This record gives sequence, C-alpha cells and structure tokens, in this order.
Amino acid sequence: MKRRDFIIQNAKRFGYTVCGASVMPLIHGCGTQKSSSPSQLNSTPFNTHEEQTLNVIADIILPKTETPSATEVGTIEFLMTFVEQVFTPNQRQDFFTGLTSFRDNVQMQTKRDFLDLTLNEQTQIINTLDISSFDHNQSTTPANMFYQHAKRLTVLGYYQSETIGETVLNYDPIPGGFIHCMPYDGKVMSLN
Amino acid sequence: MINNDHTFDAIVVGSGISGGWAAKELCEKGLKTLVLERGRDVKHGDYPTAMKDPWDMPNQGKLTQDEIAHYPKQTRAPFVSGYNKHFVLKDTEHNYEEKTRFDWTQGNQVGGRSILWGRQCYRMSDLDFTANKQDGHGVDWPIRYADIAPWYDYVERFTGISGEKLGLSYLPDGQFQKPWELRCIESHLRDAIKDKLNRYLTIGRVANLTEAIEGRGPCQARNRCKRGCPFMGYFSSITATLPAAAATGNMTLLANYLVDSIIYDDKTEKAIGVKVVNQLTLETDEYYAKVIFLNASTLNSTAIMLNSRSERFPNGLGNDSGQLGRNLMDHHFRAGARGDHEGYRDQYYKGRRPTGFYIPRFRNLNASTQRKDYLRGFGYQGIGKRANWNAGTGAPGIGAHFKDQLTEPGDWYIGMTGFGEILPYENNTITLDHTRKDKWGQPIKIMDAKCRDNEFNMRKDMKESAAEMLEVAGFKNITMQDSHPVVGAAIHEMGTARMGRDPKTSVLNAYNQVHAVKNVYVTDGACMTSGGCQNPSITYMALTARAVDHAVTALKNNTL
Repeated sequence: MKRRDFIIQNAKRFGYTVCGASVMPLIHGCGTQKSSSPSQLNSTPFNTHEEQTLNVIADIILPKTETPSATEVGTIEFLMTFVEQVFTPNQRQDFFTGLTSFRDNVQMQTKRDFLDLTLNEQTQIINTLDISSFDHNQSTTPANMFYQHAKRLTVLGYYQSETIGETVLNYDPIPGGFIHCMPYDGKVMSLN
Repeated sequence: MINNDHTFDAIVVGSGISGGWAAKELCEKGLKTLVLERGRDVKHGDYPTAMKDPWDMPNQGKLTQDEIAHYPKQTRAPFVSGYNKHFVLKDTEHNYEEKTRFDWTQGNQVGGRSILWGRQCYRMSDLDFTANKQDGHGVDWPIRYADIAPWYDYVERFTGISGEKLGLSYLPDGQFQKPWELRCIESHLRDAIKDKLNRYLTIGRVANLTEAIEGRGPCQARNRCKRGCPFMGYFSSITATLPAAAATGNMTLLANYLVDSIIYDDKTEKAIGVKVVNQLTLETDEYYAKVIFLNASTLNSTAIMLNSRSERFPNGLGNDSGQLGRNLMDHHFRAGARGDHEGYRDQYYKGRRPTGFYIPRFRNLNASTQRKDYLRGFGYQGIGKRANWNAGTGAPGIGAHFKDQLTEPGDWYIGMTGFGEILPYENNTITLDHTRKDKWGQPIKIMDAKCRDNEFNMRKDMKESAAEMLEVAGFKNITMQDSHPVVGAAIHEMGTARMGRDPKTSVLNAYNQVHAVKNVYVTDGACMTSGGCQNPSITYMALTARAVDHAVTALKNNTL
C-alpha cells in the first residue's frame, strides 16, 4: 500500500482531513464529519500528565531545528481543543483510551512512566509506535489509534500555525495572479 | 384591494444566480420590480471570513460537534464549514424529509448560493437539447441551441467567464476572457490524452475574472471564493446583477420575505401576486404585479407552485400535467481516479488558481463513441498540484528529517472526478406534506430521488477511464475512487417543473412560462428538461435573460 492511498484511507476512517483546492474534496470526500451516536463519554479535560505526554510526543515528531518545535507554536493547545470540540464522542473515546493504553504499555515494558524516560528512550518508543501505526499489515491497537490521531493533529496544528504559516512557509495571502509554472525557489506555499 | 406600495410591474422571487439576472433585466428594461428574498440581507463586503487564515479560525475552520448538531444532513456532504456556515441554512431550522438520502445545501440570503457557487460555466449543446428526443427519456426540450446561443453570449459578457476556445460542437465556446493556465503536470496530461486517446483537456471555464469588468475584479488568485470575495473576483448576484438592478432605480429589494404561494385569479386566468410571510415576525402580506418570475431555487420554486393550490389548480399552480415535482435531477460525481507523477520535480507555481481543469465529454457523441452499457455522458473536473506537508498527517516518519521533508513540495499528483448526467426519472420527486407545517406555516418537503442502473454503469466507466488517462500519461500509484452517488450532493438540483412542448406532459413552455398561467415564468434550475453533464448555472442565466426579454415584449404588446 502506497503512502498516499494510506492517507486517503485514513482520512476516510477518521472522518476529517485538510481540504485543499476546491476539486480535491470532491474526489476524496474531504471534510466529511460523521456525527456518531452520542456515547457515555463526555468531553474529557486533559490532565497535566496527559498534556505533558502530548508535549513530549509532539516535539519528538517535530523537534526544534532551525525552525521552531511543535510545542513552541501552540500545537498542543490546538490539538487539545480539537479533540474536545471537533472529535466525535467515539473519536474522543479512542483518543483517551489509546493514550491510557500507550502509557500502560510503556509502564509494562520499561517499568517507568513515559515522562520519566530519557529523550533517547522516548524517541525510540515513539519511533516504534510510528512504524507500527502506519504499517498496514499490522492490526491497529488502541495505542496506534491514539498515535494516528495525535500525529495527524500535531502536523495540522504545526503547519497551520501562525508562526509556521506566516514566517517559515511562503506566506502569500493575496497573490494577485497565478504563475502556472516556474522553477522551484526553495520555499513551499503556505496556504492551499 | 390593491394598494400602491404593494403593487409593482414585476415580482422576482429569489435573489440568487437566476433571480439576480431576472432583477437586472427587468429593471434595465424599465419595469418597477420587487425582489423578494426569504433570507437575511447580505451586501457585498459582508464576508466575515474572507481574509481569515487557518490559524485565525477556531479549529482551523472545522465545525465543532455542537455546530454539526445543527447540520446533521448537510455535513454528510463536504461543503459547510466554519468558513461559510453563515451562508448555509441549518437543518435544524430548515429541515426536510428524505425517503432516500438527499444532500441539500441550502443557502438563503440576498445573493443566495451565488455567493457560494463553484463558478464552473459550460454551455449546453444540441447534443443535450436533443438527448431526450433521441433516446426517449423525459420529454423533448422545446428549444434548441440556436434559441439560447445569443443569450449565452449576452450573459457571459456581463458575468465574465475565463476559458479557452476548443471549437467543439458538443461543448460550444463562449465569450471568454483570457483563460487561467494549466500547471505543467496538467499540460502533460493534456498532451498525453490528446495524443494517445484523442481526448481534450482544457482549463476550467470559470466565472472568475481574469480581466476586470466595471470595477469587479480581477481575481487575485486567493481561491477563497466560497467565503465571498472582497475583490469581487468572481460573479455573484450581490457583486454584479443586483447592483446593476439597483442602479436603475427600479428595484425594491425586500429581505426576510418568503413566498408562501402565488395568488391565482380565475377571472383573468392569470397570477395577480404573491402571498408572503416575514420570516422574522411571521406576519403575512400580499404583493401584486403583472408578471412574476420564480427564481427561488429549483426545489423552492417548485414547492411554491405545489403550495399554490386553488380550485383551478388543486395540485399546485400549473400542474395540469401532474409533472410538477417530478423528474428531479442532479449530477452524479465522486467517481474518478488519482495518481502521482515522478517528473517535473524542479517545477512549481505561484498563486492559488480558483479552478481546476476540465475534460469534455467523449462518450456517446456519435456512432463511433457509442456505449452499449449506458446513455448520455460525463465530463471530468480535476486538479494537478504538488503534494505538501499535509501528506505528513497520515504517513510514517518522525524527527528533523521528517520535518524537513514536509517543508519541501512533494510529488506532483492529479486527481479527477467525473460529473455525469442523471436521466430525468419521473419517480425522482419532491412532494409536500400539507398536514405538517414548519414554523413559517410552510408544508414539509419530502425528497425521494436516487441514481439508477444508467448512472451506476456510467460511474464504472467514469473511474476506469480516469485511471486509463493517468496510465497513458505515465502516472504511478493510480487509484480509482467511487462512492455511492447521492442526489443533491453535487448541488446541481434540476428539473421538477420541466420545459416542454406539450402542456399535457410538461409544466413550462419554450419561454419558461407556466403553460396555463402565462404571466408566471420559472427560470431557475426547476425548468430543466434534462441535465446534461455541464455545470448548469450559466444556462439558468441565459434562459432567464431570454425569458425576461420575452415577458417585456409580451407586456408591451399586451399579450401577457
């Protein structure tokens, strides 16, 4: 299974994705947001431990380089609001159940809490989880489900943050016209 | 009974894409015209999200669960979002019933859905106007291309359509502004399918102005049209036709007035006015005129006629044929293909072009392109771009390298979906339940429409032919897409008060007049006898201008 097929499949499964230019949503059914039957689970506030765990994961996915890290641009605040407000009750349940399962798995494997591990150890754990989460031949565990959601929202929150969107990528709010073909000048467009 | 400030020469019901044209033409020809819009007043500039970036919007513009609760039906189709929800009616307030799933995007405000439209404009041809006669589905159109061609010319010059002339009889050229340009991957596909399959690919013909018209535009290539455009870069009623109508001094525009029914007078055998309800106060009133244009949108125009019951018309105004509410059409889409291409890695683009490409119909044009498995045809709309960071939302990878990868453009890809014709089926219907009323006293609408074998067989070809074209053009990772077609989802509702030659089998005549009530004209999508596969708005505009010309001449000659 190729990367992009997988993205499309995931988009369908999660029921949300980013819409690009007008025709692509038609093709991919982008933006469909199914309202599922309400579950018993109400909006669950993130506790400090959960928030810290998400911070660490996000900065492992998108660390500080010459450009800011995920947490430096408000990615986690975006993620938490999105999970609370936009996710269906079922998605929210998957997210929190998976997060708990992830922490339990780490505790079982290492006998320590994820937050007490070294960055190197944390990175190894996330790297393994990342590989299994996007491997189609492997069954999807609750921890995988959580991670897929978390990664998707981390990338969304990061690249569509004000800092990255306006200062790192090529921000061009009013192009004034369209150049159909030109040599790539090293900066990818910010807005779709 | 008739009081002066309630009496006009003409009444236009609705201010969307066809109502705006009716208003402009009637006013410019000197008629005192009342335009009734059921929704709120919106003026050019009332675009709260037009300048918002994703990071300016709560949840980057995604609706919250609390908001989605107001749009249980409309959120099934990917249209309403935080960026445009103020222009889309809530299902909780404007509900309808479905015997089969029907995705109806409703946008009632001054300007209607012309603020939100997709802006693609393709003329219909005699291939379309003769289709019903040729294969026996539906009834024959009472007009041919020659009847409407000068009116296409007329409305296109004012609207401002950018496009490329191809010289095809079955997709006639129009009065085009200079076209937008194809990205290099799209030109690549164009050359390959011309060379290997003798099919055409052209830039979308779109009502985005590449050249300014009277202070409108040009388009700034922001591709945020569906939020309203501060630059008037695309055509809408509130930027173009309604201001033109207002400039004559002949227009009275009343927002928040919905039309309950048309008042029919037995003695004169004409309509004398309309009964209205103020949507805010629920007060009722009446307005009178010599001629009435129904432009309330396909389903609402038909609903008004169905609700206009009298002794003469017990089943709805002009419904002698029993066809009112029948033959509901849309286009079926979301069947196509996508693929990646490994070439052109040093090439990029600048700006956000507000249209994709178009592949004109290539099936059932003549004997050599005839299909055994289905009638009629489809065109494709698609787009070719480079992948971006969005790919990282669902792909493996972490760390600095992953981050660097996502800040570079990815491979070129092309995606396309067919837009196919739905045959006019008598049993695809809108009906009213008069025993149940909404808060404005209007009967509940019941939708019952579905795609059938002809459409399903066509869809198979739509996805396979899309994949075939990507294949011959050297694309990789080609995947075909299909989804269950839902009528209404393409937001091209058509039919339900069809034009025809015979009052026994149709509702409107060749000039969009109700056969039995000649001073009522219906010129929105309700009038369509068949749907073609072309985006239909430009046809409504042309038919409207033509009908107004007919009405004004008839009024002068005292024949209305």
